[in-house]
Amino acid sequence: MEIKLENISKEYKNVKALDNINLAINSPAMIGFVGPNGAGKSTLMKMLVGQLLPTSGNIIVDGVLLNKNEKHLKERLGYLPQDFGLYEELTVEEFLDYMACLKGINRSKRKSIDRAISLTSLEEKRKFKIKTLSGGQKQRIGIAQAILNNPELLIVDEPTVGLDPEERIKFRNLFSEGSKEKIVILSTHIIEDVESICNSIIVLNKGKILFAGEPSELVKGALDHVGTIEIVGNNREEILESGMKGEFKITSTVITPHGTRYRVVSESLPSSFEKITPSLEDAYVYCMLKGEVENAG
Amino acid sequence: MPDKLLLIKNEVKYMFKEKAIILLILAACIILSIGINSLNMTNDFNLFYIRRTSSTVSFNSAKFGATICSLLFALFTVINLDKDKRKRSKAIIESNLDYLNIIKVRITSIIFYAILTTIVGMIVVMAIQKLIYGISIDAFYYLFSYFVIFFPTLLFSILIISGLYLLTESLDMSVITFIMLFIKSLKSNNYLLAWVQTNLDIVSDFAGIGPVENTIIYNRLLWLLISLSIFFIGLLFRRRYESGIGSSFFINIKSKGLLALTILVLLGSGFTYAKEPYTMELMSDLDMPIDEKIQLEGIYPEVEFDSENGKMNAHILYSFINNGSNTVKFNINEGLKINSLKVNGEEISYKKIKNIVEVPIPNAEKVNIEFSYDGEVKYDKNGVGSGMPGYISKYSIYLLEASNWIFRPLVVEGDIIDISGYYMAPDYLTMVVPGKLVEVETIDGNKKWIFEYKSHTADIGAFAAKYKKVQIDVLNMAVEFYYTPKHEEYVDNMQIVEHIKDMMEYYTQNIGKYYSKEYPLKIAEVSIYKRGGHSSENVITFSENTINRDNDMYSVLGKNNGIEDFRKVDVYANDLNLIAHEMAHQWWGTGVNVIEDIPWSSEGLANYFSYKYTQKEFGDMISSGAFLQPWEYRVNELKNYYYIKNDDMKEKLNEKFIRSLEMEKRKAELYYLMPLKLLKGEEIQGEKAFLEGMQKIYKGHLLKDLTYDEFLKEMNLDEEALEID
Amino acid sequence: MINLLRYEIKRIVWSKKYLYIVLLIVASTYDSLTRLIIGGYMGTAPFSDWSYTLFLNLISPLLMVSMIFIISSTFNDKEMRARSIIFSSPITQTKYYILKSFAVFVIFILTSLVPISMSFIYYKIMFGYGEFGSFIKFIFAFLFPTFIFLLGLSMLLGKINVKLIYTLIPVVFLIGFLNLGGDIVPMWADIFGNNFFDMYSLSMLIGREMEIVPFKLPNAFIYTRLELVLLGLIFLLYTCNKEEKE
Repeated sequence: MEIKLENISKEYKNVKALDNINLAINSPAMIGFVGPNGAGKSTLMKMLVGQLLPTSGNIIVDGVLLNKNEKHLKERLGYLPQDFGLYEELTVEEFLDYMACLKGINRSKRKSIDRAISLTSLEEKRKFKIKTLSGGQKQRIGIAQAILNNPELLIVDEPTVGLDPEERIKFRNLFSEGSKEKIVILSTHIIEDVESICNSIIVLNKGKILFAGEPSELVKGALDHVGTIEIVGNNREEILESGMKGEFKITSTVITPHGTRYRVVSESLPSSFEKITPSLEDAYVYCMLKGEVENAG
Repeated sequence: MPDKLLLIKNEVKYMFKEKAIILLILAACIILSIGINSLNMTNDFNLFYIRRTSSTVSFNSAKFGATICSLLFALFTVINLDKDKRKRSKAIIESNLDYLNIIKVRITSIIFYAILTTIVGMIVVMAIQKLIYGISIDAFYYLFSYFVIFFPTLLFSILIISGLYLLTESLDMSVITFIMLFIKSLKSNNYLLAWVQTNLDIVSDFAGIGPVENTIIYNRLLWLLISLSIFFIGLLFRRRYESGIGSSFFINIKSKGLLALTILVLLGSGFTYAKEPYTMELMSDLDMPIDEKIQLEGIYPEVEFDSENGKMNAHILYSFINNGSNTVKFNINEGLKINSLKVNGEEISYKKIKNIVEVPIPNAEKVNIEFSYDGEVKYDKNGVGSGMPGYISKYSIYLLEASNWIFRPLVVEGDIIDISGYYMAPDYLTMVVPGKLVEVETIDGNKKWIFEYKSHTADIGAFAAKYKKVQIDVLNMAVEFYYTPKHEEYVDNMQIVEHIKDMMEYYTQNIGKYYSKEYPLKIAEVSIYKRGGHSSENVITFSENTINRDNDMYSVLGKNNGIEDFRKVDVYANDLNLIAHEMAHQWWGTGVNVIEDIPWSSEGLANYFSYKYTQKEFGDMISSGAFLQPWEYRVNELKNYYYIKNDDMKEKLNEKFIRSLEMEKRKAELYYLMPLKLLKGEEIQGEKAFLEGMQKIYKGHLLKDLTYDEFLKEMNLDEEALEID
Repeated sequence: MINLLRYEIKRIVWSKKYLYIVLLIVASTYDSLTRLIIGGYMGTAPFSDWSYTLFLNLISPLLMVSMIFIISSTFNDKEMRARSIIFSSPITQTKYYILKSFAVFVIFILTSLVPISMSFIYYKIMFGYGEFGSFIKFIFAFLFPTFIFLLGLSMLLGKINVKLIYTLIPVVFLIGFLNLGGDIVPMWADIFGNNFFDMYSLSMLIGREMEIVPFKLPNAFIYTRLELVLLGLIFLLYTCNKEEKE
């Protein structure tokens, strides 16, 4: 499968939610969308599933414009929105059966449902009405319906919200396994999720792509921009002040026996800081920081 | 806890910003304005073209507005209460303050807007009245219509739907239940159940709101209690801690205050409903067995009216000739309390079952019974506002014999009943007394109207208002016409007095001389609270709509009546026909005692002659369109009624239904079939010969009885010839 | 598709709310039958065509208002939230609206069967009357056009804004229940055929000279009913076909 985004923009009453996005995705791929709240992640995803029209630009799926070929996309799509509702008066099984009908799964419908239920560990709840379930369980039903048709394109918006840590790991693996022959796009603000499974990362901010590429490249770009310093005693004002001015971003503060150890990300790291190897999170922060500076410039 | 007033202020501001409330107020104003003319939109032919006054404009708009705005406000309320559930914002709000407070604050804010709507709507309608119709404003009627009828309806709707919503937790279920209660109100004859629109059709211009004021206020009180009950019950079942209806209830009843309040208003509503003080089930004479062994000879009433308080105080002496009876039964009005009862001068104990009093009497030939009683006259249960046989109010007293305001002895009546006594009422009222007015005495602020009468029946009424009295002399007969000066312009313009003269002349010429030289004919306008006309002995009354119509009607008298005037001519012809019908009863009913033998009765004769008069006045087209055709239709129709044709099926119907069907049938036979038969007779014999025959019969039976057989025999007619096919 | 329809119907019918609505309909039908229909319209037999059309007219407002409530659930917040999932499947909006409309249609048939079968049972037991064949066409002439018109209209309004459906509810109820005559509600808005009773039925029955007056629906009435059906279908078609996307 092949998806191309050409010069995509989306405007809401003069506010640009997406600004001239260009992107090409080929299967197999496991892509993580990261970015702060309101960066445009969900807007972009809704556009990819055909629920939102771009103000300008084209989305091309397998060589055909999306709005001319929605059926082709949707037959291959699994989508978990960030905010969704379920038919709560149905049982888990009935709802999945309903969705299977919608998705046009005719052959091996039973099997698909059983598989989705077992992958999301909902076996015990399959005969329960959805309204009796907890928030995390409902999230799992959302995931179950997304993977029901074994989609070629799986788009999941904040999939791990409301899940406990164990489940989070489990679903991360579920998505990454799927990505061996398909496209999986997940959006998150938890860098850890991306780091552990994604082979491609897209950083979005204010409707623009700040970075698109492999996570290691993002990390490479942040080399020499991450450092630590340990302030002994109570002389913290100076460093905090500089942080406030935007010279650097403090990414962690650890109280040590002698004072406080700060980890910072900066465009130009002062010499007093000890340089260290950046983590993906540091690289993300650096990417955002750079974006801001460029914007200001 | 945040200041509640502040919360309400905030909510009011927030609702205003949502704009829906502005649309609602706007819609209410439009609906109220449309409502001004709502009377002409109903099927109530008698109320077409009623003159616009402050009372009609304010009442009609408020009534129509209340009906529609009740639903709109209910919907607005329930959508507002459902908001947090729909938008899933309940948890956030509940984390800040008790959700009950939010419910209370929202309801209070909506009530605030209901008050605002009432005031704005009232001002709009006032402006229309003043600026478009040029009618001066009487603030009293506006305040009454808008703050006793319109606003309470909105308030009840808000409380009821809130209660239902709290109970069901569902917008759909609460709205549909509300709709059921709404239907109940609009379909009911019982004034107590009419919480949306009140059961009043119109406010009388003649008598004001007085006669019905108490019933409306009582209805409002009852529904305030009922709507509070529903609301409190809703609060008792308000869902708590995400539990179901049952467990929520057990949590809620721990609030002793709420529980006590709920029980209090529930008991209050039950009590208010059960102990309703203004109405009773009046039984018609037909249902009463008459004691043949005792005969009424005289009635001597001494009655004082306290019209300010709607009360009366009576001392009545009855004299009887006893031919072997042990008791006399009286049909009474339950609102009047007996203070003393004497038989032949001695205090005696009696039995009372509902509205029948049974008095033991000695086995003497002459028996005198003296009653002393006082109180307020109760109305007929299903007739409040449109069929009230008796009431006493500040500016109008209307007491028909049917109200039993003078206890009615259930005995045979003598040929001549001696009636004399007095009515005393405040001096601003003019009384219309039966028979002959002997003297009027003024006693500190009151007038005592002394009268005497040699009557043929015991049916006497009492009518009083601030009347203008016009003495009409026609062919040496004395006619007294009493009407309110408020309607003088219409009476003058529409030549009502001339028409009354005309009728007298017409009847005198075609039937015979008026039955009495001693007793003047008294014609009195009365209020719309009893529709139609009435005639007993020498007094006839007709309801105010007959002479209180819009000056649009004046065009009827012009020579070229266009098609658009046709409906007006029809209304006018019906109005005059009503007077003509009642007047004809002075000849047939009072002059000649027509013994009822269905279809034969005085009604048929009165309708025949009033028809003849209307035909002379309005020509064939109007008279046949307005009377002849509808009579024929009705007679034909009833003949073909399923339950009349299939008598054996009647058992499927309940008692009430059968009674009303029989009443309809009886009415059609007396009022429509009989005049048609008479017209058939006229057709057979020719108009001249027929009327001459009628004149002879009148002369021969004056002050005597006339049976159907006598009539047929003397007219040389046989029943078969009069058969209508 | 059948499977989806089954679920749609089950979701609505298998709820306390629907049970409650049916109970209210049963109660009001019982009241109409025993209090009004038993007497017969204008003195005709309780099972005459005239009385039966009146019966249909009496049960209509509540039935239609209930249906509008059910239609409103296609546009409420719950459904809107579920749509984000629904529309990620290959189903088109057209099919989605057809599915929803058809489900309401089936529920309408199920629900109207309640008062209709009650009336049949009532006639059979009370009057031993069993010739219901002629009633079927009245059911089609009175209930269906009103319903299809309101279905189309509500779908259209709901698609614009669900609040418009809530405004439609009192309007429909008042038009159906209050006999506002030609002065307030114009003839073309007489969706329940109230005017039919005011004008036609009365004119046929007043002064009748036989017990059984043959009942024939006047052409003008049939045309207005057809107009309603047509309008309803146009609304429905428009709703189904108009794609909505931001």
